[in-house]
Amino acid sequence: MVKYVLKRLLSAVVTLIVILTVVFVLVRQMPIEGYFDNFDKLDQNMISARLHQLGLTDPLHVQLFRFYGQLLRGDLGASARYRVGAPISEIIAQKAPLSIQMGVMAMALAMALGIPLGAAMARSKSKFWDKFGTVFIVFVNAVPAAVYYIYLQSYGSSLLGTSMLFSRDDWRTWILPVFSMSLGNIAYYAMWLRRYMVDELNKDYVKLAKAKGLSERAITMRHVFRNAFVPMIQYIPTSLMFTVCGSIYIESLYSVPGMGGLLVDVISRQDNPMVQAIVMIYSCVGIIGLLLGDLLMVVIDPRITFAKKEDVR
Amino acid sequence: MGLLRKMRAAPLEARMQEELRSRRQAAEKDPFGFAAFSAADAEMTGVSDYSYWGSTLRAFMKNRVAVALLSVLAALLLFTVIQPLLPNQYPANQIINHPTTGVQMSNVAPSFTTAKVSVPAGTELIITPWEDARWTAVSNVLTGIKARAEFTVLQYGADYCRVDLDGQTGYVKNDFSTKLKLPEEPEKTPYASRSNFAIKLYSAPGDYTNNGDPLFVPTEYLNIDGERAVTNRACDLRILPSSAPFLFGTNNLGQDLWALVWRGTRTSLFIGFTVAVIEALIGILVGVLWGYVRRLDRLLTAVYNVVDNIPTTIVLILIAYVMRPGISTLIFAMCLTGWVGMARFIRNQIIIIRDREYNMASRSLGTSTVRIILRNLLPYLVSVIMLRMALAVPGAIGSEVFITYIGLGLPVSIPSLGNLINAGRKLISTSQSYQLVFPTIVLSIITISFYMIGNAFADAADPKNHL
Amino acid sequence: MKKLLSTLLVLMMVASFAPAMAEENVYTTLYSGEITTLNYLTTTTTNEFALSANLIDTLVEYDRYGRVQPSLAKSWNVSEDGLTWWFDLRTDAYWVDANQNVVAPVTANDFIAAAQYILNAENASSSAQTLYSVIAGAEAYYKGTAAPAEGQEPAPKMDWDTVGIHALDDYTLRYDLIQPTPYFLSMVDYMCFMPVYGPFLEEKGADFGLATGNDTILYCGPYVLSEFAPQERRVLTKNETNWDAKNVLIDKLEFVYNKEASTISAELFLRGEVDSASIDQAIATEWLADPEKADFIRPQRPTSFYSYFFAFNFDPQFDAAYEPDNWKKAVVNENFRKSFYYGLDRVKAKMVSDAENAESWLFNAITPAGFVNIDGVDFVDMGALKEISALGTGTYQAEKALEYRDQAIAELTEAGVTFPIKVLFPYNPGTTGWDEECQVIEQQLEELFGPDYIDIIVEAGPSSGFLSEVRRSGKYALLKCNWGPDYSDPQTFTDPFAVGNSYQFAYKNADMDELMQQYYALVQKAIGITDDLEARYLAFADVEAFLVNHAIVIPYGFSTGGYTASRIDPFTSQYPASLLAVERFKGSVLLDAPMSTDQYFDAYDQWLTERAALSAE
Repeated sequence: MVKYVLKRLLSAVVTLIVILTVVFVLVRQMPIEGYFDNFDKLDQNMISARLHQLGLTDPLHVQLFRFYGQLLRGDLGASARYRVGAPISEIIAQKAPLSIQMGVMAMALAMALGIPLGAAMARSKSKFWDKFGTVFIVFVNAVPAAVYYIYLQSYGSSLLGTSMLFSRDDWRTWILPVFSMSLGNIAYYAMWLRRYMVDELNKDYVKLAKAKGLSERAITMRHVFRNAFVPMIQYIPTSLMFTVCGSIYIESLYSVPGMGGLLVDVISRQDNPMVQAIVMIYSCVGIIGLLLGDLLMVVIDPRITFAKKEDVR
Repeated sequence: MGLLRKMRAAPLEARMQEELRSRRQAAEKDPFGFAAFSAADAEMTGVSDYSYWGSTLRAFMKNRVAVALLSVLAALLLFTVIQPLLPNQYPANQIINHPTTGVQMSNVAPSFTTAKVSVPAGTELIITPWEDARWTAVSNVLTGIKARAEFTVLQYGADYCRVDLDGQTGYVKNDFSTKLKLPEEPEKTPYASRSNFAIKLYSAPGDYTNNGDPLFVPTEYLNIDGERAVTNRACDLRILPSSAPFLFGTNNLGQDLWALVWRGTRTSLFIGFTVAVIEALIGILVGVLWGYVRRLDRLLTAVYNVVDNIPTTIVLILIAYVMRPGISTLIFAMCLTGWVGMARFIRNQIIIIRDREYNMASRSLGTSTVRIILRNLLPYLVSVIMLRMALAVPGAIGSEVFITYIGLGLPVSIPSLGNLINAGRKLISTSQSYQLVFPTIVLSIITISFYMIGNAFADAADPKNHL
Repeated sequence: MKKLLSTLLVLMMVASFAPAMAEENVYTTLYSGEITTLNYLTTTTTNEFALSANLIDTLVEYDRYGRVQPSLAKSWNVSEDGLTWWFDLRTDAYWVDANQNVVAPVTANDFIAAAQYILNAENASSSAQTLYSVIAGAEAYYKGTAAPAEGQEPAPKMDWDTVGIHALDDYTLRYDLIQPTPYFLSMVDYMCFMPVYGPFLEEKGADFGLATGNDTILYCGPYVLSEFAPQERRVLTKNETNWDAKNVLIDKLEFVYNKEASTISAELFLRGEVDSASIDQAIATEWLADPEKADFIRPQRPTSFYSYFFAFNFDPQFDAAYEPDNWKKAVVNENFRKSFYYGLDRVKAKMVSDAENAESWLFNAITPAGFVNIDGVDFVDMGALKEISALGTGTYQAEKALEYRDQAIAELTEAGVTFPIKVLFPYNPGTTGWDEECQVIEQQLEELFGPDYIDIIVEAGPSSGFLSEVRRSGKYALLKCNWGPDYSDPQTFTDPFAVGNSYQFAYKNADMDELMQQYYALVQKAIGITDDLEARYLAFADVEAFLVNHAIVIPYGFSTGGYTASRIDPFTSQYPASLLAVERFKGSVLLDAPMSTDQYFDAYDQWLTERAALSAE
């Protein structure tokens, strides 16, 4: 097992390098005029002066070595276009904590509401909870998020009597953004948990348990739920990590100064150092999420193993 | 496979039925007589006419909600195809202009009729000349008054004032939209007044116009006398010389929203289906290999990590830069970045079941990998795969909305639900919110249908539910 | 007893707040474009100079009627030959930090320090070109500091003394120009002529002007940046040490960042959470029809002088599928171009962005209406342009267009052109509303001319790199282009058509030579007139009339400003006679209630009368 984890980590590092290099090359294919705001008014001298300052006039491999050299020294570099000259680590340190806070809260809310809802739906098949849950899930999935977020903001804020915009100090302005963020996940967890549990409920061992005389409750909670939860487990670390990376819709609407939308922003502004830094962070998050998810699966279900055939006795 | 067995079983079955019949007859005659040995009997236990897909279909049909939604979806799809062929439809991208003024008919509210005002017989109207003989363009506007032009108020009224403009008498609207400059005691006429806005001089205290533009009425309903006309029966004054209504209204450009929505649904469904199918094919292929063949696990995990972590936005921007925005570009971009989700999902499912006893048994029996995948693993996962695929279609449409939100979607000349919803987002608190509501309703119906159908099919596909 | 006590306490509290509330004059609004840097010496983007205009004073500024007023310069004069300008600086201007602690007085040396920074190519300042296009010796100095291009010799390093900017003493500044420039004063109210405190600049080095906080620059203007959290909010507080603090009427400017500002600001305005909001066309139509809300909005005064026009491409480089050779033969025919000029219904196209007031955004020359004027007579109403501008929206004449079409068909068929002629008409999908406009124009023209004349092909260009991919590479037949002024003189609007331009490439087409030679001769003549402003403007009027009369380009208008709900009285703000003037909040009055459309027109009338009275003096 340990060997497997180590091997995974090693390939993770290799993967990271591949990702960074690919992205590095890709962003340098973007058109030159995207680096300037008043492209028409500049003459050739100024364009080449600025490109030289950005380090874009050197050959590709020189730029690549410079980048990795900086990275190995722990220097993420400075933003070139988004916030000129500001160290990227500083920018991220300002934005990430807020997104992480909101993300964790939204995740906790989603799990606290979604999982019990899914279990209730599976248990009361076709009765009240199932119907209610279905309507909820269908509604959340059917209407595009971009649309119901606006309604939520407008009606929710007048209902709660708070400002439409987010402000760190006023705790009441946290409610709507966190709630909006969690809605999609609540529906997701409820839907998939219900499906997995329903699948389990059809299995033979459940029939046996019923024949044995176990209570409905004991069967669902102690056996079915655990088995159904296995496929869900792997999503939790990843979705946690990605909620933390911020939701672009919510943060734009409520003026939340977090990470959401940052990636899209810096890509359209063609701020190469920031794009590379953010891609690196998100990649690490994603890779580690995948690894953790796999490990969690192994921990929960002893039948699953990643080890090579020879290692299995 | 089942068919072959059925064919082989048919003559056997025929013989068995005969045997059964003769036995029944024999049993009726002598219930306690000895039963003899029969070779046919022995065979009977080995044949069954159980068909997996048949039972799945039957179980599915029992779920009435799902069946209903399936027919709704089919009807929707059919309608998007036949809608342009129906009578009285406007072409999807056609900008509809007012016949006499040439101005776009923007933001017309949805309605079942084109009638704007109903007038009784004997109403006096003023004609605006235009070519068509069957319809006449009418209004009750004598002339337009330029902004800040002065006129004399002869009689004050809370809604309309009677005024004199350079010798012509008529009526002028007195409300917040004209903001007439009136003195302290407006009843004490006459006095000079004006408005800061361009307004109209009406022949009677009433507004028989479409925001200032002429309305239309069939010529036969009028008694015409030069430039004036009188209606000879109670009739409707319409905004256009036709009774083809704007069921969904029009948008800012003056395009018929009804036609746009159906055209857009067709485009979005096409994109959704194509993307879902391609994603499924690639995703299942890669996912199965990734999950089952241990040697490929590390390699494919690495590939997955790379593809998954390259921001879709960069890929989308670069693709849009190289290939112009269009449907095939969008499909290409979405497939390129979308197959990883399906692959990961399948891979996780496979990992869970690959070491179960029955698979170990198959392996020790020497079954080839391909056969194990096709016969052991995939059928087990049919239910979840079906659900996932069913949700992939509305998911693709949802991604399209997001991609259009960040500005990389289809050009507006190709209508699609994503375009329509994004265009309508800004209109939420206005009276033009119908431009958002209708596409959203259609999208919701599509999503709900796929969800219910997917779930019902997944439920039906579980063999445990076939009994 | 308790009740009495508590009531008294409450009253006292309210009373103590009341004076505070009465004093504070706060203006709140949303913004969606964050600045990327506070370094006003290197940037030329609107977002950034809109902020710097309020933080740093310049030599001159403008009042609400567009008359130049002294700012950091008390007085100025110019030499006989127009090549030298002297400015006497005031002695009571100071540099302060974000907490309004005085650091040093503003002196002429500060202008030298700024110019040295800008003209140093290593700093990659985008306003350097504006500076060296007018100051003697600046270009050579700039080139001398630049790193040479590959395989080329480095340019010789020049001494600072050769550059025409001198501080004769602490409070006298002298500029030497390359040629007489009558509009120099308006150029001086721009970023490249802003001062910077030398020792502070040296101390900060590369950290100068970083958008990380409000401590990276010093301030001398009407406001200081008291709070700055990028992508969150910024607060500008009145600078009490400013020489003209008594004319700064709004105490605090609060800007809250929100990317969806265009979607939610109208709602926020109704709730009283912001003091001004740009109102979308759809919401404007909605509010104007509601008796209560109709009084909240008014038209936005055009404040940007970006001019939009439709350019014909004389040197098409697009795909053979769109028949570039066919187009090239057709476009040199004047009747062909004129059929477009008279056939294009500009009002209909503009209605896509503003259904109510489409006409008000159109003008008939390249130079926008309201840009420059002599004694109240607008440039576009002078000389040869008078008739053209008087046409107004009457440039759309369907019968005339059809006449020209028939003539063109006759002449072009002889020349061997095949009909219908393909017209590649691209747009940038990243700009809202452009695609709709193209659709309207396509359908309108094709309906007018019928299917046998032209076939307009509307295509989406790439949204990144649109300019280089489409316009500069010549991959279009007809395209809506724009040009923004660099200084307050009609000469700036001749740049897009000069030799070597990347707009319509007329200079590359041999069949256009005859016409273009005449044009360039007119331009040269106009540029040469530097002593008599009226004669100069009349000459430039001839230049633009020539373009319009030969339909070399089709003028369009402003990009719309639409409606706004705002508590600021627009007629108290500085009149946009220079690029920075319009962005200033100094002098603007904050009203108690938003100005309605009705009040706006009345106030506009009053402003016109006042301005006319002043010019008569």
